[in-house]
Amino acid sequence: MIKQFSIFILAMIMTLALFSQSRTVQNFIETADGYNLYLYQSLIRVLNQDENPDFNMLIRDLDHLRFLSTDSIGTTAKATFSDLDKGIQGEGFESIMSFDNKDYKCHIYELEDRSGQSSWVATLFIEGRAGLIEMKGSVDMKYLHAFSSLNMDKLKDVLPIEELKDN
Amino acid sequence: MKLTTILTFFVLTVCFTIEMVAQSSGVDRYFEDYKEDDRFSLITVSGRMFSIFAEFDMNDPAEKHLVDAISKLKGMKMLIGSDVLEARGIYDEIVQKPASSMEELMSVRDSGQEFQFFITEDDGTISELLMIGYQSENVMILSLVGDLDLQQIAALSQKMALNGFEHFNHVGQ
Repeated sequence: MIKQFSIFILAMIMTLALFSQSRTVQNFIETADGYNLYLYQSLIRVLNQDENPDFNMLIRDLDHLRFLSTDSIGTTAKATFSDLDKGIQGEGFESIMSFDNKDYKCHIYELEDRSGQSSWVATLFIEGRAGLIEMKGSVDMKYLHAFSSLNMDKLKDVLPIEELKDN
Repeated sequence: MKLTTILTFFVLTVCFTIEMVAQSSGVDRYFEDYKEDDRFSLITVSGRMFSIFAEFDMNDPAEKHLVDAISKLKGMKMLIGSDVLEARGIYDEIVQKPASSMEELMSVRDSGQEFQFFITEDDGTISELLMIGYQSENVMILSLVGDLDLQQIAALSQKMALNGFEHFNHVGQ
């Protein structure tokens, strides 16, 4: 369940246009004591399982994806998730999609600036840990069909899914 | 004359606001009531997210049809309860609560399950579809808001893995 959920969330985030860093995200980067995973464009290119040139076009303006989580679990993590949510909302982000149940929570937010560019942040509560996904750069929607070339097995290898489950 | 215009505008605004509150006050509170209940999952999707889906470039005509249906949605809320012993009781309570402006479109009854579909229609335009149902110890509420085409929503119902929503396909036949 957590694998499909994580991949779904990542897929959702990758379809969104642009992330920029909010104060809340920056603070969390400085204090999060758990998993901190960067997926730079060069690494994402490795996930192009059939060397589809359109996949490279899809991510050509993508700088990185970042996955951050807390190390602590339980009520502390719940409070952290709540703080992340409040912080993002306090910066004027609007919720565009949310999923909530007792084990998994994911809230995706958007903030559009004066020039019409959008910033996106996803806050997460998975398996007792709080976290967030940040994407910097943009993906070219014209090549979205090439998303099918993403090697899901390799992606699962680099994501901290098993580690999160084991701890 | 100017005061009359302002008063008319004010009265219309108040009436419109009251109507909007009345429409959402029936079932909406159940989404809030049960979202803290561990047995329930709540999913909300805004119109903005649907508009992002609409940017997907689909080659297959059937998929294009679905994307077209999705692009007209302005919001979705889904509440799903699992292992809820009193699922039938909750269903019986909620199914009485749709706003008076909604009319029943269809109901499906079978042993251990019941689903009712309601719509809000104004001048031939359907602006909301509400599904309330239970199946054994599962209970679900689905609210779709937007410019709804029943044929398209029926096609969409086949793609959504939601208990009970597949019954909506009968509307498209």
